Formats: sequence, structure tokens, C-alpha cells
Amino acid sequence: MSRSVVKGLPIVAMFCVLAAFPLSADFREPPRSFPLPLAEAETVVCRWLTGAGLDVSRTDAGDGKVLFKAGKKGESWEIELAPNSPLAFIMVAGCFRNGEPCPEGTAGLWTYLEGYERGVSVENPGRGQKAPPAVAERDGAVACIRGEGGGGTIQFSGFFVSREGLVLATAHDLDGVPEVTVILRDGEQRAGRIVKLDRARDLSLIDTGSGVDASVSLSSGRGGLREGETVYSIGCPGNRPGTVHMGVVDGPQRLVNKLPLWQVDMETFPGGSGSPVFDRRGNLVGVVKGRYRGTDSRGFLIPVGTVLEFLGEDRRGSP
Amino acid sequence: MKTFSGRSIVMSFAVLVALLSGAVSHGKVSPGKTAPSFVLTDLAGRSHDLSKVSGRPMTILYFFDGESRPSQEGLVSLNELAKRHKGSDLAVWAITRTTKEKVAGFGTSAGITFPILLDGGAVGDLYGARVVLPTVCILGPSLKVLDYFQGGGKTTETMLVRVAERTLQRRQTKLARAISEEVIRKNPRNVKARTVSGYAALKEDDLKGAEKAFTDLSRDGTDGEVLGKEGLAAVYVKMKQPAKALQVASEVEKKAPGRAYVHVIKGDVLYAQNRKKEAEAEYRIATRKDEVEPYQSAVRYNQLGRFYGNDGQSGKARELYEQALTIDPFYIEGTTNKGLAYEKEGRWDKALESYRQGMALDGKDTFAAVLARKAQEMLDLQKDSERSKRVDQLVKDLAARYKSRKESGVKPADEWTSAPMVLTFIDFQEKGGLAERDGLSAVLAAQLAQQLNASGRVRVVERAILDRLLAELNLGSSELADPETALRLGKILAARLIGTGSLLHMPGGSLLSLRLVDTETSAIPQVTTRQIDMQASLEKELFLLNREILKTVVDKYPLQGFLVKVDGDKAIVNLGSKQGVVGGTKFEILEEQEPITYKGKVLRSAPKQVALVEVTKVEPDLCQVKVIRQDRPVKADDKVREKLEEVASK
Repeated sequence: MSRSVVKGLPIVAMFCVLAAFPLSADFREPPRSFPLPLAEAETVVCRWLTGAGLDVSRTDAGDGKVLFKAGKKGESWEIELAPNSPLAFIMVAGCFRNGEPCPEGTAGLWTYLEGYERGVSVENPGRGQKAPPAVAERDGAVACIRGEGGGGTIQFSGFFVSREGLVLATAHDLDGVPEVTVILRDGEQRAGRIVKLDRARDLSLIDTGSGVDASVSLSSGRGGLREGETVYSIGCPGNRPGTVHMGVVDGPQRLVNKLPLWQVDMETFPGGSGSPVFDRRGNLVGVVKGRYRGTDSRGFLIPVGTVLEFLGEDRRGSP
Repeated sequence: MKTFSGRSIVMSFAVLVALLSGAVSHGKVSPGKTAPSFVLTDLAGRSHDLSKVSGRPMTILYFFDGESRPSQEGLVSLNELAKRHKGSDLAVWAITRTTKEKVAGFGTSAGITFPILLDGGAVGDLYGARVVLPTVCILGPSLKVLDYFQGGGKTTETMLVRVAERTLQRRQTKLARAISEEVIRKNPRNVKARTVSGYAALKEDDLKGAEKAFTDLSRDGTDGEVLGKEGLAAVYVKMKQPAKALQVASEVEKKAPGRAYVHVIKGDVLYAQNRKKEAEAEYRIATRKDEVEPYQSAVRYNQLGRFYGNDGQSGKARELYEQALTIDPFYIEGTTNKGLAYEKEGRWDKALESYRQGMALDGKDTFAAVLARKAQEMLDLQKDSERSKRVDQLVKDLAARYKSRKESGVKPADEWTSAPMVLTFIDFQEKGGLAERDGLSAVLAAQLAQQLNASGRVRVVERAILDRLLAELNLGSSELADPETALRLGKILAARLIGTGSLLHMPGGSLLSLRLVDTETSAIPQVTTRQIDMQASLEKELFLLNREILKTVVDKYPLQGFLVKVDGDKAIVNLGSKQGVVGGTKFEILEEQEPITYKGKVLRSAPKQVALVEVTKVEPDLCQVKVIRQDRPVKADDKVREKLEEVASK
């Protein structure tokens, strides 16, 4: 085996830091194949790992295989990539968090790779959902959020609502979670302190402690939506940052447990709760609350009015 | 008659000494010079050594009086920006001779995140920062002083504009825009800040935003009109409206004959229109005028250098790039252009030095990294005398064969078994405008070669061999534009495919037209046209091109061989890594069909697939396969052919 980061490795992958992490046990998941050449896959996987704040080492494992070991405090990864034809590769990956296998971590990597492959596929360049420019511009304000809850690791989405670094997100799963990790679109990770939690409205406000370049303007938020109107969510379902889902408002506003919600025909996956939803012009129209149980194409949005009520209370001094 | 008391004379003398000492120190620190090093401790007692941060692209030294409001204001403004743009590399050291007790309170209440360094007075004196505070010193790479100015109030605004301009030079357009907008918020009439904001938008390809910013500016007084219209001319070039750009440029010329950048804009338009002499004249005028924004000054010399470089005058071009880098040490385009000029002079060590300079400015710059790798390979080859001799001999043989029109004598062992797929890239013909950055063709070829070689399926002819062969045969870009010459060259190099084409440089990007040409049949199995942005989409486009080439190779030139040995559901194929087999490759097992004779004519049908096997282990000359599907038992001597499978994520 030879350890190398320079020759035979694409440019971006060169920026991976060399480090070594002992493998504590065989915690790898069954192999998965993806239609990407190995050299490209190396770059993409390495970028995902470094973007998650992990230190990464790369080793040639013989027979054309490449081994990545990555880690940070309380988390370690081992990923083996092998060619599966000149145009595809097989990946075997394993992740450990706080001494326990973390299948949700590897699931996040799978979905990221699937999204990447869809986004730049040669075969189907139009398959990835694209947002209009006015919506795509909002991407920089969206964040992935991770934390440790009572039931294990939680992952959801949120977005900056002020340049001072305040993030709006959903509240479910946050019971007993004092602090989360907020991952910005450029990969920067910040500790986020939950400063307000409203279980009834399912909204939370998280303070990341310092300023940001991009935030979503609430003053241009729209309350009324037309039935049949197209909307776009940007979030990180499956820990896949910048995922865009297009949807259509499929009914008038409904009251669920006394709170208004929009129902949309839109792909909604775990981890997407808290994603901001925009109209075609990039105005905020809602926040993804979740999906109708048992489906992944029927979602519910928290209207902007509820968001403003929640934040208005905050401005009046609560909490 | 008025008399002076002894005390007032002493005071006056003290002030005079202080002013003089300040003036002397100020002489030591001025733009273009190297800043003196120092070591100071911060409020927490941590030591900070300036010499240890000399590799940092930009450092702001902010000398301030901890008890003076104007002094504090500037620091607070910088601090707010740094907080809002965390991770943006805005490095500030605040230096004060105010006592620790007094300054600590301000630092805490203002939430200053920069180190506040305590100076006994010596460092302040060294930097002429004793009498007038705040004093601001902006340092570039290697601690070169870029800007130096003193005074409070208005100076904070000047400082922020200067920082925005320097940030724009470093291509941190978002931060530049944010800083300039911060200044505009406080002073909407600040034309310099509005100009930075407009150019930052332009660099981010926000053409509408840039057009609006410059249009508004052009309606605001004389200075605003000139700067606004100059910016608008640049916007129209990017909007592909050259006539409009030239018209607005001529208005700027009339209004402000001393402006320089407007001539660069005109030069770019004229060059793209193939009016090269007129373009040269404009570029030359641009270098003689002195009214220019700091972030555009270097571009004048660069474009004239690019003009001479394209004209084959690499020495002259290099001198101009050097001038550009003296003016603007953040000018990364200048570093790689200079390196390429050195390459053309055969000075690979100096070329590598330039590329490393570029990598130090931006560690993620694909251009600098790819070119540095190529230069390092050339230097390694020069140092390895044995390998160098072998390459020289090979090049001589190839050149002799080229001249005698003898092709590669290597014949396959049998008609069916595949030879390795060898591909060579012949330089893309560069057309259209004069891109600010030279070498896109070389970078594309080098990166694609690396990715294709990494696939194991395709072998790309070493660039060093091709470059030496071209030099030996005295073949330049005009000769290589002839398809016959390119084909002959490909055959000599035993390459089955040639990758060639053109790069059309346009404002805002380049259009790559890539053709793969079969050297045996002259057929063109693949033509691809792609828009390539030098920065934003280069990596993505290269990945897509790599995939397309690999798909064409596997689809149109599938590996063919024979089953050598069969043992149950396992077998050995006479193809290995030398031929381009990689793990997981699928082969279909073929059975020739008996020809049908119909009315005296023999009709041949395609071979029938009778089984499918998958590669489990690859050795240099052979590979092991396992049967994954079969209609009849496979046997030795069965023909195999690579199968392109549409693989979905699973």
C-alpha cells in the first residue's frame, strides 16, 4: 500500500489533509455502486468529508482501489472506493460516532452522491431539479443542522434570517437538545445555541454567534399562495446541502391542530424539515414542516405569517 | 514683546522631535517596501510574530489610540466586517501603546475579535505611528507594504475603500462587495466604493447588477460619470455588445483623456474583431496613462503581455507580466502567465517558481496547480538523465519515422484482440478574444490526460514526449491546425485517437469544441462543444468531458479478446491492465453465427451474446472473470467483447 495525495489524485482532492485514524472495528456497510469514474468519485467524496469538517487521509489500496480514512472528535470514517468499470465505482463506507456505528452518516453520503450524479449527469443533464435564478440566489443562506437528540443523531435544515447569524428552523426533534452544529453552504461549521423554541408552531431560532454573507429577507415574504402555484424548497434532506425540490400548492391553507399549513405536492425527504420555500421570484413563502406520513411527495409548509408571529414574539423580548 | 517660558520651549522641542521622528519612520514604511518585522504580545499574553505570517495574502496593521474615538471607530468597522464574514481571511492586527488596563475594557465592550497587541512604543515608531493615529498599513504577500495612510474620521472610510479594492484584487468579490456597500451605506456619494461594488458584481457575472450600479454612478457628477461609463463599457463587453462598449468608451476618452482602463476595454474588443494592430495600440496607450483604479492597473500590462505572448514574443510578454505583478502582488493571472512565458523560453524552474507563487495566492487555483504539476514533471525528467536519454532517443526515432512517413510498426497479436487505447491531445487552436489568462488549452489537455489515465482504460501520450517531438519537428500551432499533420503525428505516436479542436475565447468564458479523430479511419467518433468558465465551471466541465470521452471509447472501441481458460464459473481472459481492463468491467461472450447463403449472396449476421462475465481481478496481461449469466457453458477460445452497461446508483 502506498500513501499518496499528489499523483493520480484530482486537484481538489489534493487539499485533503494527510492524517491517520485507526479503524476501531469493521463497521462498514454493504457495497454500493455509482455511475461515476473513480477519479471523479475521489474528488467528490473527499470534498464531502472535508466539508463535514473531517480530516482526511488517502491511501492507494492496490488493485486500483483507494482508501479514505477520516475523522474528527467523536467521529471516524473509513471509505473504500474501487473501480466497477471505467465509468463506475463501488463504495464501501462505514462511520462511527461516539463509539457507535452511525448508518445515518453513510446514508447522508449516499444521498449526496446520488444528488451529485443527478446534478451533473452526462446521460440525463435535465434530470436534476433546477431553481429559477431568483431562487437559486437564496442558496447561500441555507444551512444543514445536526445535533444529538434523545433518540440519536438528528439532521434537519434551516436558513439564516439575519446577517448577525440567526437561523430559523423547525422545532420537532429538538426537545432536550441545547446545542446543534450548523453547517453553512461553504462548509463552515458553527456551534448553534437554541435561543427560542416553539413546539406548537414547530419553529426554532438558533444563534450561530457570528455574522454571515447571506440571509433570507422576511420583509419580502409572501403570505398568500395560489392553488397550483409553483414553489421551490432549498434544504439538505439526507444531509445533502443545496437540494432543490420543486412543488405545487395543491389546496387552500388548512388548519392542523389550530395552526395553518400549506399542503404542497412536493418531494419531501427526512432532513428537509426547516428548508425555506420560495416563490418563482425568490420571495419566502413558507418553511418545510414535514411530509404526510407514508409518502414522500406530499409536504406541509409553515406559512410566512406563522414565522413572523414567532419572530415577532422574539422581538418583544421572549425568550 | 512676547517671551516664551522655559517650559513651553521644552514642550515645543518635544513636539518637534516627535514629529520629526514620525517623519523619519514614515519614510521607512511606504508602499512597495517590505514592512519591518516585530514580535508583540496581545492582551492575553500570547506572542505574535509578523515574520511568521509573511505567507498570508493580506494583513492589516491598525495602529490606534485606545482612548480616541476616531481611532476606535475604524477598528470597530473592521471588526464588524470580519465578524460578518467569518472565514473570509480578513486578518487584522490592532496595535496600541495605550496601557493594557485602558484598552482591555474597549476590546471587551466592542467585542474585538482581532488580536490587540500591546506596544511599548518601538513598533509604532518603526511604522511612523506615534503622532497621527490611527495609522493603517496594509501588507501583501511577503509583507510587502501595499497601502499606508494616517488619520481618523474620513480615513476610516478611505481605509475601508482601500481594503475593498485590495479584496477585489484577491478575487474575493463577495467580501469586496460587502465592504464597499458598507461604505456606500454611510456615504452614498462615495464613487470609489460604488465603482468597487460595480466591478465586484461584474466579476460575479451579475451583469444586470453591475449595469445598474454603473448606470446610477454615471449620473452622479463628473467623477461618477467617468467611472460609471468606464464600468458600463466593461459590462457591455461581457454582454457581447461590442459596438455599444466602444461608443461608451469613446465618451469616457473625451471626458477624461487620462483614463487608462478604457483603452484595455477597447483593446479587448478590437482584438476579438481581429483588428490586432489597433488592439496593440490601445493596450500600449493603456500602459502610458496614469488614471486607473488600483485593481485594474496590472491588467493593462497583462493584456499587452498577452498580446506579445500570442505574437511569439515571450520575453517581452514576461517583462510585462513582471510589471503587472510589481503593481499588484495579488494578480494570480500574472503569475501563471509569467510561468507560461518562462515555459516557452524553456526555463522550467522559473516557470515552477511562478506557478508556486500563484498557488500561494490561491491554493484552490486549478490553473496554477495543474501548470505547477506539469512543470515539476518536466524538471523531474530533466534531472533523471537515464529517462531523459530514453525520451530523447524515442523522440528522435519518432521524428525520423514522421519524416520518412513510416507509421508505428506495432501490429496486434491477432486481428480480434484489442491493443491498448492510446490517445494524444494536440493543442486546441485558440481563437476569438484575448483571454486575460493564458494556457487554458494546456490546462484542459493536462487535466483531461490525468483523469483519463486515472481511469486505467485510456493511456494518454506523455506531454513531455509530444512537446519534444513538436519541437524536434518544428511544428507550431499553425501546422497542427492542418488535420493531415495532426493525423500523421497521431499515427507516429501509435495513438488510435487524437483529441483536438478549438477554444473560442469570448467575454465571460471560452467555448471548447473538442473532436476525437480516429487515426486509422479518419472518422470522428465524438464531437463536443462546451462553454467553459475559467474559474466557476472548469472542474465540472472537465469531469463531464472525461466521462464523455470514456463513454465513447468503451462504446465505439470495446475491448476484445478471448477466454484463455475456463474453470466452472470462473475464467481467464487474455486482456489485462496493459490493455485497459479495470475491475468490474463486463464482457459479453460472443458466438459467431453461421453465414446464410441466399440467392448466391452470403449474408453475415452479428455475433450472438451467449454469456456475460464480470472482471474480478486484473493483472498486467490478463484478468480473471466470473460468469454472471450464460445461455450455454463458456469455453476456452470463446470471443469476448467489453460491454458498456448503463449503471444506475444502487
